[in-house]
Amino acid sequence: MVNSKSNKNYGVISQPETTDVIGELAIKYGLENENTEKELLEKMAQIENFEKREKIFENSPGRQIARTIKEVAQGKIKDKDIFIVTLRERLNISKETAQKLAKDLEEKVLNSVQKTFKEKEEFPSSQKIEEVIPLEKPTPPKKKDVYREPIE
Amino acid sequence: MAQKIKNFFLNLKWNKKRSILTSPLPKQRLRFGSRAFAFVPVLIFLGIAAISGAFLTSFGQTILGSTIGNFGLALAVLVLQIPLLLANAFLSMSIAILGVVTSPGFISLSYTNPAGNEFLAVGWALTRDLANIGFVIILVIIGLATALKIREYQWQKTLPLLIGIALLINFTPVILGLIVDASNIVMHFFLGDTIDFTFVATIWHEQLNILLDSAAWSRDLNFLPLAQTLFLIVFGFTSGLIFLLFSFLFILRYIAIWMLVILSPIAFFCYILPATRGLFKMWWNQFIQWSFIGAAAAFFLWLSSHLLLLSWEGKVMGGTFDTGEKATAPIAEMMNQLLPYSIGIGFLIVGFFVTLATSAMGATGIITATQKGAKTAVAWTAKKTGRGIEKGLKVPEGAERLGRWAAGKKIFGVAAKPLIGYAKRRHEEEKKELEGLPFATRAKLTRKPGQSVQDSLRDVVKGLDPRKFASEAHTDDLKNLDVFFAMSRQQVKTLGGERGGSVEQKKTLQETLIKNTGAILGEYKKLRTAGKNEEAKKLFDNLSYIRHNQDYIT
Repeated sequence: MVNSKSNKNYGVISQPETTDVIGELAIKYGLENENTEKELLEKMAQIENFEKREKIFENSPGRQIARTIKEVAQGKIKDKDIFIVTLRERLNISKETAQKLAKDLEEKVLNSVQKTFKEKEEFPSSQKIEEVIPLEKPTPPKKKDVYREPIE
Repeated sequence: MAQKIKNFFLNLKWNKKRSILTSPLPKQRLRFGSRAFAFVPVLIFLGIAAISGAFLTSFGQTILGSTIGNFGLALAVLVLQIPLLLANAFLSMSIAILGVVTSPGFISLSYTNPAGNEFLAVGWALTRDLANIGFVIILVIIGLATALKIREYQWQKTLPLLIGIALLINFTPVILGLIVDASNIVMHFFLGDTIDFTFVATIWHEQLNILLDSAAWSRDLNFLPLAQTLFLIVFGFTSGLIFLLFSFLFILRYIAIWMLVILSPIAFFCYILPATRGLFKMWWNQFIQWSFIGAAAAFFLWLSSHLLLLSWEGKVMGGTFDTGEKATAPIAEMMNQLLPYSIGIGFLIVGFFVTLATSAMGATGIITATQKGAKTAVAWTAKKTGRGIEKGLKVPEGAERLGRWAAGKKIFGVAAKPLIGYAKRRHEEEKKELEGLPFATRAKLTRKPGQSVQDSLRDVVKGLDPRKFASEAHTDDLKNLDVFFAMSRQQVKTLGGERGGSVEQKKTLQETLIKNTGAILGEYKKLRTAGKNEEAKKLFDNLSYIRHNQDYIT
């Protein structure tokens, strides 16, 4: 998985604000609305089977965006085109909409998520960052002594 | 003083006072639900008081009633004999101390003459020698100032002063002795003519009469002995305190004059240079004030003693209050007996403050110290009471409520701390005891009377810090839908965050949500119907957060 803490966590890459942005973008692109939670719950409540319910939950647009973001951050999706195609397929949207959404996600979410993800990879939280202490104290360059005659 | 009284009335917040009247405990008022009903307890209280008052009056007029009433009053008078005796002892002691302090032979050591006071001789000789050393330095300063042409310090101005002061320094005890002796002559003139205050204590002869009065059977209710007793207690402590304050003032005068005489060579020395002349002036003012404060105090003591004597002889009041009317007779009788003394003591109090108005440094310290002492005593009593209450209150909520109420009150403010502190400690102890236990178990243990386990569980979750929540939530807890209903947005975030919950926790919470969609929807609708739109929104917001958060994705 992502880091040494993966046995405890999923490999945390999200920031609280990025989660909110995903929700906002889902609404912006008409994928979700203010009643989505209610509609989703009503839809799920009609089904008895847990797996099927879970599928509905997992297939919800916001969830799909979050999943795609996670895959990009984890490096599973490396190419931008693949990212757009994935979004298009998962969310069932047009190419143009997918491109715009991808751009928005890149600007508002991905940068932050990837940055955090890279930091996690480079410095797993179990590893302490050691402060680099210079061995010798740097000596300042000697100033010219204007009050003394140079010794030949 | 008058300004203080004026300020008090100007700053009085009538609304605040009214709220205190309407309800002693703020939380109790809230129970009525509306401010409009806040006066109800007052009305009930007044009603009860009126009914019981009417009953007591009519009952008191019967033979049985008056016998029972008088017996109760006599009992109260009997109990009050202890504080009355203490007041008596305090007053007698204060009068005795004042008598000793104002007597000419109180301290045999001289005020100003080092020959008659070894303490003064040691101190004064030292400061004189120091001043003599200082003259050499001053000479150097004068020399430099003259060379540098600093006009203020040039030898023409400073050298004659230096020579004069150098001579005078050796005679400071004589000069100061003249002033002190002059003030002492005036002081002893008044003190010599002051009547011994011990006759004031004869007011306590009343005590026996009061006891006899209260024991005597009467057809009517007799409040006079009780009122007299209470008055005498107040009178005893007040007059005792004022006599004691006068005593302190006289003692302090000795010390202050000695100190000022010891410092006199330095003070005179300071007069030479313009830069230090202010110090001399300050010292001089203090010396004059401390010398004559004794005369002022003696004057007021002398006047008060004569006034009190006239009171004792019954010559102060032009006429007496009419004791003929049956209803007001006891009050009039009491006024006739005690009011003249109050006037005398009142005069003494005023005299004391006028004496202090001479602003002798340290004299005001007596009153400040008295005020501080009184405050400390009140604070100590309040604190002890608070601790007593604290021990008695087993429920931390009760202690906290009482503490918060006390915090708003001036006198009880000190008691607030231990009460709130106790409540907090108890809360912490409870929290520690509960740590590690499943939320459902905690809910059962902390359930308030009449509260459902469900509500208690929600209270447990709501009261947890997000990090604590994330670290302490068992997977079984997260299977309980009530936990999700009570979870705050921050708790949901923290559980999903980096230092938050485990994979297992997140998975469990998500599964719980998927399994119970119908129940969540039901709760949402219930909240909306109840008008709790904010809570309903929070429910969906939390769900939305979980759905959109990558950390919850497996």
